[in-house]
Amino acid sequence: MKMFTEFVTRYRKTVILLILILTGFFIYQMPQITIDNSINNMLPADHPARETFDKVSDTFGNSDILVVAMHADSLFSRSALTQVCELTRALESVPGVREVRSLSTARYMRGTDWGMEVEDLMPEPPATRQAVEDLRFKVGQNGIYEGTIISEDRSYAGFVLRLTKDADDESVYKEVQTTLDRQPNATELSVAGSPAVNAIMADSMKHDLTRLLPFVLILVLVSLYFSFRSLQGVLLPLLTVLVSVIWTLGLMALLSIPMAMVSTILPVLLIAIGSAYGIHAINGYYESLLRRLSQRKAIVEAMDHVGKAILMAGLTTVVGFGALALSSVSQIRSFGLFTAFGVAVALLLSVTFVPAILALLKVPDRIDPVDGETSHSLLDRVLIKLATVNLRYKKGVILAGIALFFFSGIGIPRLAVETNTLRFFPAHSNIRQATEVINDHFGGSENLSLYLRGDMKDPEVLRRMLRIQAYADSLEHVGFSISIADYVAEINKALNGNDPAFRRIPDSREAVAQEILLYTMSGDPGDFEQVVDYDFRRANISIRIESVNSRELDILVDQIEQYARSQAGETLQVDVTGSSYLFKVLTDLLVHGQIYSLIASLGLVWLIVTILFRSVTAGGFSIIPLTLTIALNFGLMGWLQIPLDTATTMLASMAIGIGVDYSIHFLSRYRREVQHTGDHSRAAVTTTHTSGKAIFFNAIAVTSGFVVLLFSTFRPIQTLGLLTAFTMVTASLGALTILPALLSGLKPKFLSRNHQNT
Amino acid sequence: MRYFMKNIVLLVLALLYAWMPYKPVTFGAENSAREVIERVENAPRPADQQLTMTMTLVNSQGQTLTRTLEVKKQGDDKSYLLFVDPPDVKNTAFLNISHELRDDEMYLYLPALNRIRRIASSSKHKNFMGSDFTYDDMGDRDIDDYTYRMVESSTRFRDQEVYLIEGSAKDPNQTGYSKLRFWIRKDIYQPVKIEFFDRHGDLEKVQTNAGFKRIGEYLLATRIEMQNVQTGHKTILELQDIQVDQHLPEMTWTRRNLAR
Repeated sequence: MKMFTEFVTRYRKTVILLILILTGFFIYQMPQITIDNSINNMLPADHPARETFDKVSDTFGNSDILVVAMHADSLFSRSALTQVCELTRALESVPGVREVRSLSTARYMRGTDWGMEVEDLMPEPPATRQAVEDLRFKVGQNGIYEGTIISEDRSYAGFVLRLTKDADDESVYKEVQTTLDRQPNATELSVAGSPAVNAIMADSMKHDLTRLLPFVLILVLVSLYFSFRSLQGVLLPLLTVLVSVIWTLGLMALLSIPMAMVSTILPVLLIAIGSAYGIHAINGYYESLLRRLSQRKAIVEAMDHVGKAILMAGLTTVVGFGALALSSVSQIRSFGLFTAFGVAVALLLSVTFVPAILALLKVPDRIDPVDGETSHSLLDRVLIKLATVNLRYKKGVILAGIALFFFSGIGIPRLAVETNTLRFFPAHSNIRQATEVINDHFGGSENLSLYLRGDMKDPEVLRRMLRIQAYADSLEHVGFSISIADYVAEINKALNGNDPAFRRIPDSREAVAQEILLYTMSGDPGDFEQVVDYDFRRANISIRIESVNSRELDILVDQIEQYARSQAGETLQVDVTGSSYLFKVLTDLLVHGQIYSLIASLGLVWLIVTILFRSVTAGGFSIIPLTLTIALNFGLMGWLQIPLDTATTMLASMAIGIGVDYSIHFLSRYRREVQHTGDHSRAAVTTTHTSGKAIFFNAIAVTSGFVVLLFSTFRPIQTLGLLTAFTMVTASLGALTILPALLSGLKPKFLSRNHQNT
Repeated sequence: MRYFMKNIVLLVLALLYAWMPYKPVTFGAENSAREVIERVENAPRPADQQLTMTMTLVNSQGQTLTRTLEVKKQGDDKSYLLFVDPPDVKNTAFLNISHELRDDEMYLYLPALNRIRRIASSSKHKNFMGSDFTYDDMGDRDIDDYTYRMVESSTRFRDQEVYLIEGSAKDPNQTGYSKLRFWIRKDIYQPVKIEFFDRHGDLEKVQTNAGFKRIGEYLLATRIEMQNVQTGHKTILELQDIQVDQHLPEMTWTRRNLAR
């Protein structure tokens, strides 16, 4: 470390220049950063669920839909219907919209005495009262419109927008919204669907980024000012974290990794965590200066003293976040890896950039290091009191810890997982209310697909499809479903004088084929595109469902999947897919990823501490407060019904990465004290007092950084802010109570062995 | 001969106009455009023809669907189509009789149901059997539905001298198209390419005719392709075993014959 710092201070200008050049390079990259919150990009590309999803999208087109609902007091009036036609045309011309289904584009299949006719339901707005009445009759005749393009109570007209395969959700949604705003009755129009949710999310993310960043910067500025009261003391740590944020975002842009909802907290996180490293470095420098060392010597010595501590704290944080790489959810994986990178950069800068600049600047006139050992403030008295009480009731503390652990343990199974991105917005937000309208009046705006392979002209196969659909339609939260079997049954009905009894599949394959041929005699070539492929070997049952929470979705998907499998066999293979299914898969991946990264980060932290203290037991002791913290956190989430989502799943890694520093601090000081005096009780009190203060300050700093997250638009991020604050408090309290109680009670051997390496 | 005379007259007129200061350039061209179209229209046609048609549908992803039909046509007014392949629609038969003054009659015989079904004549702008041809595209178009303008009196298409003529629909709602553009070979007076513009004025479909074969005194395109540029869907018709003027019995085009 000494040699390294000497090198850095000697070539300080080169070091600074190099860092500035790299920063410039990353600033240049930053504008290319993209935002992507779509569900299929959250799953790994080789996940079977995503492969099926992509296959279905390739065959039957993009299944993501935007649903527009138009409220009208009397929908069957010439003015309202004219508007339906005009709005349909306006929406059709939005770039990225492939097709609009509405009253004006729907097909009307009519059985006549002599045959069957397929015509447009409303090619032109009705010109007379009689034409309006005719339309009303036609809509009533055919059951397929209700719930899709007209609400059951006839108070809403629906417009279902299908997007092209490579449509950009954000620009399509914006253009649709502008189109709606231009309508005279803009307030009667609502739009929902996952492209809308994604677009609004991207917008809120940009908003969040620009709003949260100044907040956290001001917070750090203020706390730095009160710590050092010098310009360099304020600017240097700030510069360090800003540069690390720039490098991280620049690298994301360079590697074309899009930002997702969770990435918005990345800058806040890096600033809150990374500023501590700069603070440590400068504090060490000032302490050395106080001992009247020359500037260069003070820097080298400070780095030698605190460098190792910074490296250790940083390394465990990097490991904590790096463990998120084990998650299969790509959002979380890239978030973990880039945060780890950012923390590593902050770490690197605080041992290179900071000393290099310090060597370049003048020594400040007045110096105020953070911890003065002499002051006897309220905090000192509280900490000493805590230590003595803690020592007296050792067993009680340990028992209380165990009790808390089990109490939390009972809460953990109650933990719910939530991946429905819509629920990230507060209930009163426009998008939530629009979705309510669509849920209530139309079949919902989410899509679940059954991907079928078989002979789609085989009557038996078609009958099974109808059975699956009838089952699905009978379930709660299911709007309706549509498949090629519906078309065949409708044609059969039309061919038999519109007799509802004939809404069934004919008996022979030839009859099916010929009925379809009859339909195509007057239909469009694209009419079946979304339900069956060209050679009738692959089909798609599209099930419209409401936007429900992950638990309801899980049950719903399982029920449908089970029933569909019971109908499958040699002649019919079934796979479940659709964006709703991907959300269900995401839920599972989230839980598995959580478990893997939890175990991995605990294991790695244990390994680091073991190497550091050359003792397996020390490693074990270090993770005890962490385990309790994590258990408490998940227990609390379970008891309070706070769901695990893409944001809160980050908590454990954060708790481990940051929280273990407290254990390390405590353990190394405690060991030093025991080796000095041989008295465990005195060691416990001194350690709680001195290290306790450092731990306390660090916890306050990190917590206040995370409190900024309460100003986020997204509920999961707000929750994350609150829970991180809670976690920091429990982790620091755990280190200050459970650790001294355990150490002084068990008196493990690694404490008395003589090592001088920490 | 008549055409030749007219051309001479036009030439003289054009020469006369060349001397005048205000030369309405479109006047002569308009007439000759209409003339070309009429000459195409009035090309000799067989009284009846019998052929095998392979219809290949290609969707935007390149998947194909092939049907084979036996076709018997009388003039442009009556056609009888019998499905040969694929097997599930084998023996399905289609009859189309167009009338000058009343709606066309269209029937489909479905052997699996042993029923004849009539197809609504409002389907005239609809696609024929899921292809990119409308019933109108397949049958004859009334040349008076459009007004014609010579865009290029001499240009090249696939190494052939062609006229490029634009026809604007008098009533787009009636024709289904707002505009047509014809590339007509000068040597044989046959269209080799037709562009169809939808009612909103956007290019919708492109038809190309190739494989011209002389059968007796008639010249027939044996490979007709229709590409819908808006949907990416494509239809290819290939005609084989063409026999003409066979004096097919009148009862070929009756409902009784449909369900035989």
